[in-house]
Amino acid sequence: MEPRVLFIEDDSDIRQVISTALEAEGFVVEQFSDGETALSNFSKLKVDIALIDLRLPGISGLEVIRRMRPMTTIPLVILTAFGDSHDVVAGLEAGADDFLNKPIATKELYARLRAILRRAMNSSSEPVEAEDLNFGQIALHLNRREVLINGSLIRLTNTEFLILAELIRASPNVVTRHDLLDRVWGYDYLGDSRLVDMQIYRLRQKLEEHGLKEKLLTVRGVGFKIVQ
Amino acid sequence: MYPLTLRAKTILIGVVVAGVLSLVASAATFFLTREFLLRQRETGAVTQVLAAARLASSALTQSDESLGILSASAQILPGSRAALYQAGSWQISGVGFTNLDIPESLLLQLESGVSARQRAIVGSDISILVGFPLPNYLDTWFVGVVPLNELERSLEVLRTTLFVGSILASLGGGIIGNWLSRRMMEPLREFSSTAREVSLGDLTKRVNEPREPDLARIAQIFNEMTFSLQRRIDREARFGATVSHELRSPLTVIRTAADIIASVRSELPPSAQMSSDLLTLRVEAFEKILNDLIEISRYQSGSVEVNLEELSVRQLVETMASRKGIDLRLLEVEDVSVVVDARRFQQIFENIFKNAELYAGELDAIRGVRNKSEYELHFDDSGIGVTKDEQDKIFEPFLRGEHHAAVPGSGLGLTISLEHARSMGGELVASTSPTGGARFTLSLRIAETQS
Repeated sequence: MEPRVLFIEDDSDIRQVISTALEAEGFVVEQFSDGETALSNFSKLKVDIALIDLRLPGISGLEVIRRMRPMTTIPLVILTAFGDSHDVVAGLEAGADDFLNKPIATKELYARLRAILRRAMNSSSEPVEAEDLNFGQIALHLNRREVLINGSLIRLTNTEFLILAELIRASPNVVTRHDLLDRVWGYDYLGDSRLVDMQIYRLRQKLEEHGLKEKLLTVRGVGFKIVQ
Repeated sequence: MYPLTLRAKTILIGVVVAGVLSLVASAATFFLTREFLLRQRETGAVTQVLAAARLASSALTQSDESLGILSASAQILPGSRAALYQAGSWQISGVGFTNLDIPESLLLQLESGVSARQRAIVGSDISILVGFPLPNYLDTWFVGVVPLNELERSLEVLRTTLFVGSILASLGGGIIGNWLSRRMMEPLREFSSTAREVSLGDLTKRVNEPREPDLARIAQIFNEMTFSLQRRIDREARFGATVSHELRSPLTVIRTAADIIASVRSELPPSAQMSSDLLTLRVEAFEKILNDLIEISRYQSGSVEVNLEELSVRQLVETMASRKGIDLRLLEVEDVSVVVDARRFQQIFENIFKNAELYAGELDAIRGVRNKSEYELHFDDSGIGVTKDEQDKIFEPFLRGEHHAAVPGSGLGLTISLEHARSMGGELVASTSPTGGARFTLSLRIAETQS
């Protein structure tokens, strides 16, 4: 099945040319020029990934991410002008999973989207771990992408789920930021560690909200670990 | 010889001025006091000698035992020295005193029949000699000697006291000069340290206005200057950000469109294929220049955010080397944790790699060396190398090695690389490689958890 991409971009030329490029690579693209329309149609679109420009008329890209995040577990990817550090950090804080710089080479765009989707969709191209992971009060059903805490289901985004799985597999050892960038995002050693920090922060908040005894610890200068 | 600092000069002036003033004052005090005391002493001496002369004169009317009379009358003088000239010869009373001690000028005055006084050395004592012609006797003179030793001793003490006083005054002058100069230099010192921070790029720094109106004015002017500089740079940075954003939107369209055309290259006629290739090449180059300009303008406006992490220098170099297709056997890098911003490290590596590709064809080796708290990465090639004159120049924007204008590139790569290295607390320098080519040395701080 073709991966479905939600693409929100107000510049019609950019929207058209990138959509064309994506469609030529076999993606199905749902295009929107503003955030409101995209959000009101979101539930019926059934997309696998969202590509969101930050500078939008009406509600900003950041606001779109903030409102979309509780609605879905799919990866939300920011499309930003090159290296606008503030934009990137704000986008990640709002709940984005990754970011891409404009302009972007189409080959890089395809590769990034595929890498993110492959992990998020748990596609059949990779062998699936059949067994589930149990760690204290936490139970992870890997093929169903479900997390149970004391038997009740909690909602994690795809990225958060993958990070938690990595931490539990490694426990009691530390997982470095760059291990996570590699295994969750598919970046090499030079990936942007800010991606990890923001996701860890959100994951920790969710675990604490559910009153877990297990703690997600930061090991300064090294990485993260989960302990009972 | 080094020129004296303003402080040293102030202290020196304090010492000299206080010294000279107190010396002059001391000398004046000494001479005035001395004159006053001497005159007083002389007046006293005249009275004493006059009394003795009267005593002698009245005794002479009753007896002509002149030596006895002289000795008796000399008794009332301190030092008991006196002389009597009578009938062409001298009678002398007192120890260590002869008529030869009496100055000629004194005698001349006595001969002309007037009383006289004069200072002279008698024995070893400075003394005052007072002579009177005795009334009622022809050519008979009485000369009494009053020593001034005690006065001299008092004056000696006074002189020493005043001299010591002058020295203390000079020292005091030095101390006051020191205090004064420190007080005055304090705001200036603050100015200079603030000016230094501003010159290093922190335009938010301001100096505190000192209470002294003169210095406060300078502080105001300095702060106004920094403020207007900051405003101007902000304006330029905003302009740069707007321009770059405006350029990026069309560039995104052009870049993607060029990629779409390139993806169907094989279906195009030869002329369109060539056009597509050129388009792709130039759009990429344009994008690189635009990104470089944005980086540079960020450094110039000081709006740089560095994302420092502790990463393995070996893994960093190996990751970049495999991206660039460099043989991993050319690397000699230890597994040391260094403080880096991964994105910036990547750009530095890419720029040095690109440089080697353009001027030498390829990199020969990447070697790591520990140097105290830093880890140095040497990137060596066997190209034309960098001359001594060029070693600093090549880091300036748009300045490439001489005669290489034909080599493509933005001319900003090394400038940005140097800024990147410094923003991570490191350094980037150019020198000559062992084979005579270029060597770029990137120094990175070793992570504290490791060293």
